Amino acid sequence: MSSPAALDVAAPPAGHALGRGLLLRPLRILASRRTAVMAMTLMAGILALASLVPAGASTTDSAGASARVGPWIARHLRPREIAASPFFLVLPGFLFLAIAVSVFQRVKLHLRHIRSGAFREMERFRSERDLVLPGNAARVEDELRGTLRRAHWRLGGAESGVVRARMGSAGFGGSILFHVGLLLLLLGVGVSARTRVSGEIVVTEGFAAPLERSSFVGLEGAERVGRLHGLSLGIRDFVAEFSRSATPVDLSVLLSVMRDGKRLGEEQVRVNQPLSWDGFQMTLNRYGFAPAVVAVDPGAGVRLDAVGVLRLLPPGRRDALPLDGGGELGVKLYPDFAMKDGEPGSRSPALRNPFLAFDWIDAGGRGVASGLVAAGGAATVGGYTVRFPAVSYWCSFLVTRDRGVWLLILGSLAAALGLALRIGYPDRTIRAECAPDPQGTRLRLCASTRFFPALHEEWLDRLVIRLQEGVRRG
Amino acid sequence: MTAVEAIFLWTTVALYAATVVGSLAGSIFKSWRAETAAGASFPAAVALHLGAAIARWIATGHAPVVYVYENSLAGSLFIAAIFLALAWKIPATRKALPVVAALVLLLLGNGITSPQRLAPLEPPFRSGWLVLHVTFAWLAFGSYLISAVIAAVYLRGVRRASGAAPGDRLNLLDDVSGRLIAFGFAADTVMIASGALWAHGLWGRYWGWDPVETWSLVSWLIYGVNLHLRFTLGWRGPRAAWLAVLSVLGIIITFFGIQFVSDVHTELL
Repeated sequence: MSSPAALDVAAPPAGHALGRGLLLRPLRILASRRTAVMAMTLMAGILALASLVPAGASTTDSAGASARVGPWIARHLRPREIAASPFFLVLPGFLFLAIAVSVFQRVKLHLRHIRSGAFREMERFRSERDLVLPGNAARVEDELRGTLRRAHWRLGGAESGVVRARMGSAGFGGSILFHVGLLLLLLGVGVSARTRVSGEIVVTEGFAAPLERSSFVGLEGAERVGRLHGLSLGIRDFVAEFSRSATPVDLSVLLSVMRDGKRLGEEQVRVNQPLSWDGFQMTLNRYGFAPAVVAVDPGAGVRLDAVGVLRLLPPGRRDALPLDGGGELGVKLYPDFAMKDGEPGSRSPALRNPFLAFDWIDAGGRGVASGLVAAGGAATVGGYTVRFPAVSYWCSFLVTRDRGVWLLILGSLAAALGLALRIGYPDRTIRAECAPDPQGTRLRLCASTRFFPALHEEWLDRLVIRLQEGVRRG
Repeated sequence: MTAVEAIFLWTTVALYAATVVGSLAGSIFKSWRAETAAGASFPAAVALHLGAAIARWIATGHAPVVYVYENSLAGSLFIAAIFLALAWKIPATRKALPVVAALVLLLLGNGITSPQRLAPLEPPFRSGWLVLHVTFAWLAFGSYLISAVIAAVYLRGVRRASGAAPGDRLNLLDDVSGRLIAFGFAADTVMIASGALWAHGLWGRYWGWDPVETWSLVSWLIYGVNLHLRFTLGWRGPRAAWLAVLSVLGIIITFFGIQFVSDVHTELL
C-alpha cells in the first residue's frame, strides 16, 4: 500500500533560495500553482458566462434578444468582446508571468540539483516490497540493474548492495516544454493582436480589384496594409463543382496579383488552399454570380450598364441594382432555370441555363416592368428593355496577415510533445537493498511515484514478477 | 445509408443494448451468465460498429466525420474502443461497462435520429486537417467521458464502503480516471491546435471566438485545472472523482449545446 510522503508541493521546497521579503513575495504568488488554478478557473468561468449571451443580440432587431438582454450587455459581454477587454486580458497576462516564473524556478532548481550530484530520494507516494530471491546478492543486484536499464531507468549511485534508479527526467523536460509551448502560444496571441491585418475584398471576373483601403470590407489593421498599395487582384476561370445532390464539392479559381496591369503571379486557389503573397494570405471565402445587365428605358435612355455583384439569396429575395436617374432594378439569377409548379426556379446551383428575373422599380417606387431574360438575350416589357449579355462570377477573398501564427505553430508543437513526454515518463524512484539470506538474497524494494499510486502498485508487482523470472532463468 | 451499413448499424445497436441489459441484469441479479454474455457482446458490438463506420466511409468516399449522424457514429465508436482497450488492460474498470455501453447507445441514437444522407465532402472539409482534428477530438472527449464514468463508479464504491478507507481496487479506479484525464488533455491540446491551424487556412484567422471554439477552450481550461489539482496540489479520492464527473459537463455543452446555436463552425457541422 502506498503512503503519501510529507511533501507540500504548493510551497517551495525547503532550502530553496527564494528568501523572504516584500520584493520576493509577488514572485512566490506568481509561482504558486494555486494562483494559476484560480486564474484558469476564472478565465473558464468568464468565457462560459459570456458564451451564454445570445448571438445576434447586438443587432437592431427590437423584437430580438437585444430587447431582452440590454444593448450594453449584448455589445460588450460576448466572448470576442470580453477577450479583447483590458480587464479580462489581465488574466492571460498574469498566467504568462506565472508560467514564466514557475518554469524559471523549476529549471533553476533542477540544474542546481544536477550540479550537486545528489540522487533525488523518494517521491510523494511510496510502496515497499520485501522478498527473498534465490541466488547470491551480486546476481540479484545485476538482474535488478539489467531489468531497470531495459525499462529506460537511469541508474545512479555506486554503493555496494544498494541499487538506486530514477525515471522521469524526460517527463520533467516534457513538463517544461509544455509550459514553454504555452508561453509561445500566449506570446503569439499578443503578437497577433498587435500586428494582425484582416479584411475582405470582392473581385469580379474581368475586373481588377485594387488592394486599397477603400476596397476592403471590415478591415482590421488598416494602417498595416501599406505594402499592398499599388497591387490589385484579378480572377479568372472560376469553377464550382456540384454533386448530383447539388452539394458543392469543389470551388476553385485562378487568382492573380497584378501591378499596373501586369501579372506578377497567378495561382489556383481553393477553399482550404489560400494564396500567400508577401506575407499576406488570400483565402477564398464566398462566391456569387456577376451578370452583365443593360437596362434601357422607353425613351432609349440607358439607365444601367454594369456588372452586378449578386448575393446568393434564398428563394423570394432579390438584389437591387440602382438605376441612373432614380429607381432600381430588382434582379434574381436562376443559374439552372426551370419552371417548378408554375413558378420560376433553379434545378441546381450550377451555371447551366442562366435566366435573370427582373423588376423595374421607378423613382416613385412603382413597379413598371417585370420579366425573365435568358443569358445572351433581351426582354422588353412595356417599353422597358433589359438585356442580359453574359454572366460570370465574383469571389470574395479574406486578405489576412498574422505574424503570431508562427508562434502558434511552434507553441502547439512544443505543448503537444511536452505533454506526450510528461505522460509517458512519470517521476519515479527506486531504492533497493540486497542482503544475504539463508535462502538466497533478501531484497528490500522501496519504490515511489509522484502520480498514480495505485497504478504504481501494479507496476511494482509486475517488476517483482519480471525480476523473479529473470533470477530463475539465470 | 446503404443496406450493408444498415445491417452493421442495427446489429451494433442490438448488441450494445444487449450489453446494457446483460450488465444490469448481472449486477442486479448477481448473474454470472448475464455478465459474461454482456462482456462478450460488447467487443462484438465494437467490431460491428467499426464495420458500420467502414461501410459508411466506402459509401461516401470520405471519413465519416461530418454532420451529426457521422459525428455520432465515429464518436461513439471511439468511446467504445477506448473503453474496450481499457477494460482489457485493467479488468477493474469493467464495472463501468453498463454505463459506457448506455452512453455509446445514446450517442449512436442521437445520430440515428438525424438525417443520414450520403453526401460528399463540401469544400471546407476537404483538408488534411479534418481527420486529424476530429480524431483527436474524439480521443479527448472519449477519454474525458470514460474518466467521468470511472470516477462515478469509484464514488459509488466509496459510498458502499460506508466510510471505510477505499481498497486497492477503488484506488486503482481513481488513478485510471486521472490517467484518462491526462491522456484526454493531451489529445485535447492537439485537437485545439489542429483546429486553429485549419481555421487559419480556411478563414484566415486561427481563433474567432465562435461558440465551439469558446467552449473548447473552456473545456481545455477546466481539464487543465483538473490536472493541476490532481497532480500538483495532490487532490485524490472522492473530491478528485467529483471534479472528474462535473468537468464532463463542459464537454457535453461543447458537443451537444452547440447544436442549438448557429455560427460559422456549427454550419459546417
